[in-house]
Amino acid sequence: MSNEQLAQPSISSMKDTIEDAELIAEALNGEMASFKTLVNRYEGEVAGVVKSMLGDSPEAMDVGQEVFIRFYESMKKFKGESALGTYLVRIAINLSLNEIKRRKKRQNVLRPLEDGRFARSVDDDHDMTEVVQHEIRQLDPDFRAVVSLRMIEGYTTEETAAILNVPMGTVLSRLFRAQKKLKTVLSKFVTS
Amino acid sequence: MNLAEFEDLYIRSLDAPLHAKEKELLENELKHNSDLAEALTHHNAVRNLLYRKEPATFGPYFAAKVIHKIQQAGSVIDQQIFTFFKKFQLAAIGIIMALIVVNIIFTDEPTIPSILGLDTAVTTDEEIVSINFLETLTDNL
Repeated sequence: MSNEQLAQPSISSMKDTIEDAELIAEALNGEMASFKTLVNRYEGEVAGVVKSMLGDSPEAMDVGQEVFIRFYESMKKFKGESALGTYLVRIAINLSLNEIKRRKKRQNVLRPLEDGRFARSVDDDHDMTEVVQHEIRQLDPDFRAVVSLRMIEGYTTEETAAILNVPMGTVLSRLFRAQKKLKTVLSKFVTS
Repeated sequence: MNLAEFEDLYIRSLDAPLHAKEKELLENELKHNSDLAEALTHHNAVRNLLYRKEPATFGPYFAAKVIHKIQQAGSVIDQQIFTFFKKFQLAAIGIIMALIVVNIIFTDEPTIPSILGLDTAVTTDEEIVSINFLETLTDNL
């Protein structure tokens, strides 16, 4: 998406915003088909963020479902002060951070297997993506959230700050610090 | 402008188009500051490397699975409510049974209407005590 496209709100996104309110009202009246439409509409955004944070794992699927279940349970409280996508991504980030804490406690037994996989050469794109994703998952959760939203999912600095409820300066600071940590690994792929 | 300020300017340029003046400042600085140029080129390249090219998904039938879980949770909650009030139902039945037993013990006529308090006995006219309300009121005042 070009910078020009990012800067200007699209007509379709405005239409979606109007429809979101209608769909929520219908869902509150018990219309599950309307809620299903909302899930389909925002699955991509939520999946992107959750998978960036947790990787492509069964826990990511569970967290993804939980995001929409939590939204369903709190739909009455949603006043539309932020865009629905932003609201859902905020829930997704919080639940992903909770899952990361749980994983640390459980001591992820898959780690030795992941390390073993990276002993191979990383010439092809698939391995490169895995290496990068692996390195991102080693980051501190707060840094990981910024990298996921800002660099992977393409949210602007302002949107990232709104989702994480931190100042923009904090987003930029975490972004640069995360990049420093990733520099050694990423330099290989950037220069190539 | 220092390095941090120009990095901020460049990052803003990735979010949205800069004003002409800011764009010119940035381009000029990039020509004279190789460190900045390298750092920001790296930043841009990393972003291009990581940026998600295709929409992510949780797999087929994701929405249906979410709906199913919500509906399941609804019936679980109903069951939980039923279970919560069940003990009160049992206590209420116990109290009613106890009252019936007491009625059986203390009743003169062990009949079902008597035990259940469904006596049809009627007070006769002779048994009724008439009361003059106004007279009683003035007497008491």
